[in-house]
Amino acid sequence: MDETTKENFLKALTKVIPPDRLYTEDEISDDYGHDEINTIFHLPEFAVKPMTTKEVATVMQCANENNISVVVRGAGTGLVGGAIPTTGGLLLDLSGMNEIKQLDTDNLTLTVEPGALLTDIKQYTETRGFFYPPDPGEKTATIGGNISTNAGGMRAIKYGVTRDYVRGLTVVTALGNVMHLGGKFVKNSSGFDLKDMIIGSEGTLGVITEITLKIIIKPEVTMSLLVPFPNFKDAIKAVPNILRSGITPTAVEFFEQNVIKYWESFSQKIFPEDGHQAYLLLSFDGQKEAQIEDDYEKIAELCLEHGAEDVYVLDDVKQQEEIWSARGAFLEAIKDSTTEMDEVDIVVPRSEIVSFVQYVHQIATTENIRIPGFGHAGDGNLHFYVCRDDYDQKTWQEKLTKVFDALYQESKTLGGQVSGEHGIGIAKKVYLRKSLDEVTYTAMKKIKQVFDPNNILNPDKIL
Amino acid sequence: MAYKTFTKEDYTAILDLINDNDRVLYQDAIQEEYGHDELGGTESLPDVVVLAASTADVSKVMTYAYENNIPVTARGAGTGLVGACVPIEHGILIDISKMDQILELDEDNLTLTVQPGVLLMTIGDYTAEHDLFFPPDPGEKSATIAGNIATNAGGMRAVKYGVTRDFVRELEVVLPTGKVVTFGGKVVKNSSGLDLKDLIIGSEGILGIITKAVLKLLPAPKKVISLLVPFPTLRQAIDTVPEIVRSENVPIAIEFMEQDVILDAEEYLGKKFPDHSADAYLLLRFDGNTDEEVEKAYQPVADLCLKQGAVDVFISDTQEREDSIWKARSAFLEAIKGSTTDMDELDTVVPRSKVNEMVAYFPEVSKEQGIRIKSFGHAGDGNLHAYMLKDDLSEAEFQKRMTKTMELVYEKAHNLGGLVSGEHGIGYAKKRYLKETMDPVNLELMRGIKKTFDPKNILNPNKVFDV
Repeated sequence: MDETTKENFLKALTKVIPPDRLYTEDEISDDYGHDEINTIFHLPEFAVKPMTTKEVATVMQCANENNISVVVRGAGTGLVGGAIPTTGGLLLDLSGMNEIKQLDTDNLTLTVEPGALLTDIKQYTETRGFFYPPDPGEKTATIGGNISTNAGGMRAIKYGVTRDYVRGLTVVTALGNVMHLGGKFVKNSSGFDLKDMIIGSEGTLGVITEITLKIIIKPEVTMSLLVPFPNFKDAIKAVPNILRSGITPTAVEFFEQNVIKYWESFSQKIFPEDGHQAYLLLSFDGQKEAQIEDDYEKIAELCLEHGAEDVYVLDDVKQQEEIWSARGAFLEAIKDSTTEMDEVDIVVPRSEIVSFVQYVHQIATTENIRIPGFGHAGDGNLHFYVCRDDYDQKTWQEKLTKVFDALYQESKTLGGQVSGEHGIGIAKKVYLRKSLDEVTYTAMKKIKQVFDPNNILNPDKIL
Repeated sequence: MAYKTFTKEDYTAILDLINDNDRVLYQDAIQEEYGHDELGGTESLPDVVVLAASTADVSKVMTYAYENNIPVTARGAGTGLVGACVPIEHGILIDISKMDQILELDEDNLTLTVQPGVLLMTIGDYTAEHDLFFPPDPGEKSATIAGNIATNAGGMRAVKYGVTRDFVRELEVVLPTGKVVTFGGKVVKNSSGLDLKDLIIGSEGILGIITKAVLKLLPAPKKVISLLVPFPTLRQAIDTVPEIVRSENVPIAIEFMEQDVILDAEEYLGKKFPDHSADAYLLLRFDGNTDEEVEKAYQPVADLCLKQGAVDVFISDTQEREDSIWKARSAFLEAIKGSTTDMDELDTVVPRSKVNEMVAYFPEVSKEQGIRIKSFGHAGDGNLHAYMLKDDLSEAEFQKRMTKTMELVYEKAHNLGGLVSGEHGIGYAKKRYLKETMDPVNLELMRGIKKTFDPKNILNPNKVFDV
C-alpha cells in the first residue's frame, strides 16, 4: 500500500471511528496477527473496533473506495487462520459489538450482535429457561465466528449445527451496503438462499453485524453414559445401531486410551473408570427424568449387546461435569504432550469412521509419528492432531505434509469433506482445492466475485 | 430475448442424443399438460419434450441447448402453484418424472438416495416399510422430490422437524452448461467452502437441474396422536399458538382452520368432519415412541388450550379418526377450488407472533376489494395460505381485484417482517411481488449469482426475478 493511499484511508477512517477505537502501527496488538493455533502470523496496517452496523458499513465503503483489504475478527479462537490479515490492510475487530439485543419469547428467537460470546448466550438463555443447542467446544468464541465457520459441536446428531439455528442475518457487503437476510420466520421460499451462502463463508462474502438465532425450550434433565469397549472398532460399530434405535442421544463422542493418558498427565487427575481401550461417551436430554431413564437403559442394553465391556451411568451433575470437562480438555492435553502440532477436522460418512480411524493408525505407524485424536462418532467429524515431538523443523514439515496429503486423500475416497466444523481459512486451502472438482471450485470463485468484485474481503482465504 | 428459434433440425439432433422415439415428443405429440402447472394461471407450451431417463440424458440435452442457445425448463409432476415449470420461452422441456427410482437406503448413515422424479408418497411408503421417516410433509403427496427441493417445500411438520432444506444431504446437479456436479455429501457437518447445496435448494430450477438427491432420514416415531381443538374465535385460537410452542413438548404440527373451509371440505369429500360447530379450530399433532410418551406430551397442551378458552379438545386416538381429520385437512385446497369458478393463491410467511394480525387482515381486505378470500394455514410456523376466489366476477374484474388484493397483502406481510413465499416459491406468478418487497441489494446479488451459473440465461428463463 503506498503512502498516499494509506494517508487517505486513515483520514477517511478518523471521520468514522473515534481515536480510542482506531489503531495504527505500534498501537496494533500482536494478538491481531494470529489465531488460536498460532502457526501463521501477520499483522494488519490498521485496526478498528466498530460499535454499530452503520460504522461497519461506512468503514467498508472507505475500504472499497481505497481498495484496502479487510479481515473480520471476533475472539480469535479459530484454528485455520481465517481471521489473520495475511495481506495486511484493515482488521475489523467486532468483539465490541457484543450486546444481546432481544429475547423474543413468542417467536423463540434471540437477537444478538456478532461479538457476543457463546458462553454469554448460553448463560443468558439458560437462566431464562431457553436453550441455544449448538455446542462447539470453544465457549469463548464469538457467535459471529461460529456462524462464519458454521461451527458444529457436540450436539449435532440430535440438534444440528450452527446453520440450523440462524434465522436472520444483517450483513454489510464488500461495497458497504447493508443487507437483511432471512428473518423471524420458519419457512422461506422467496428467492435464492443468500443467508446460507453467508453462513460458513468465513468472512469472505460479507461482514455479519447482527444475528437472529433460533432458540428452543431448555431441556430440564441431562445425563450421560460412559461406555468402555475392548477396541475402537467395536465402539464405533455400535454407533449406527444406537442412532437407528429411535432414541437420539444429544452427543456420541469417541476416544481411545492414549488420549486419556495425555489428559491424566496434563490435568494430574485420574480419569474415572480408566483402563479400557476405547470409549463412547453419550449424553441424553429431555424434560422428564423417567423418560431419560427409559431411554438410556435401552441404549445401555444395546451397547452391551454390541460388545461394550460395561456401562457407567453418570446421573449426578458433578460426575457429568468431571467427564465432560475432561472431554473438553483433550485438545489442550494433546497440545501439552508435544512441542508443536497441527490438526485435521475431517468429516466422513458415519459408516466410514472405522476405515478412517484404521487408516490414521496405519499412517502413524508407517510415518513413525504420533497422531492422537478423538471425535464426534455420531456425526463422523473426527479431530486428529499430528504431533511434532522431537523431529527437527525440516523433517516435521515433510512428515506433516505427507500425513495431511494422505489423510485428506483417504477422506475424499471415503466420501468425506476437508472440514466438518473448523473451516478452511488459509491452512486448509490447498486441501479444499484438491477435494473439489474444477466446476464446483470455479462456481465458488465466481460467487465470491459477485459478492466482492474488488476482492477486498478476507482475500487469500478458502479459495 | 435472442434465443435460437427451435427447428426440425434441433428436434432431430435431440432425438439422436436420446435415441428413443417414445421419449422425445414433438409438435402434436406434446400433451396440453406440459403447458401449465396445477394452478394453471400461466400457460405456454414447449417446442419439444424430453422424457429423461438418466443424468446423462439431462446433461446431453443441456449441453446441446447451451451450445445452441435454446431455453430449457425442467418439470417434475407439475404440481407447482406459481408456474415455475411452465416453459415461458418455449424451447426444451425436460420431464424428469420417469427418473423415479429409489437408488439406495443406507441404514448406517440414515440416508435415502433417490432419482429426482420419485414421488413424495413413494418415499413415505418406502421409508415406513423400513421403520424410517422422511419428515418434510407438504400437502401435495404426488409431487416429485426434486420439485420439493426446487421450491424448498415446507409442509405441516415444520414446527418440530423443519423443512425440505433441512433433510437434503447431497445433490447431483446438471448445470446450464451441461456439466454434472455434486454438492454436499453423506456427512452431517460441513465447513468446507461455500454452501452451494443450499443455493440450489429453493432456486426453482433456474441454477441447475437436480438429477439425484441424498435425503436425511430419521427413525420413524411409533405413535402419532392428533388433537382437534375448537375455539370460539380465530383470535383466541391463534393467540394460544405461541404458548403451545413454548411448552415443553413441541407438537409436530399446528394448523389452524375456520368453519367455512371445513364445511367446503365436508361437501367436497362427502364425509363429515369430527366436529364443525365452532368458528375456528387448531389441529395439533404429536409423535413419540410410546403411547405413554405421546400422552405426556399432549396432556399439558390440551389443558393449556382449555385454559385459553378452547370449547373442547377432541383426541383422535384411533387410526380412523386420525385419517378422517388429516384427509380433510389435505383436501382443503381442492375443496376451496371446487367451491368457485377460478382462484389464485398466496403463501405468505410472517413471524409466528404476527399471524393474528395477518389473518385479521384477510377479511378486511376481502371486504374492501370485493373479493371472496378463504384461508387456512400453518399457525405454528407463520406460513399462511389464502385463496382469492373468482366466483361470479368477470375475468377482467377478477384479475383487477386479485392483483390489488395481492399487492396489499404482500405489503402488509412485508411490514410485519414477512416474505412473499413460505413454501410454494416465486416462479412466474409471484415475480413482481418479490421485486416489490425485496431490497435491491439482495436482488442484485441474486442476479449476479444467476449470471455466473447461467451466463446465457437459458435455464428456466423468466422465473423468480428478471435478469
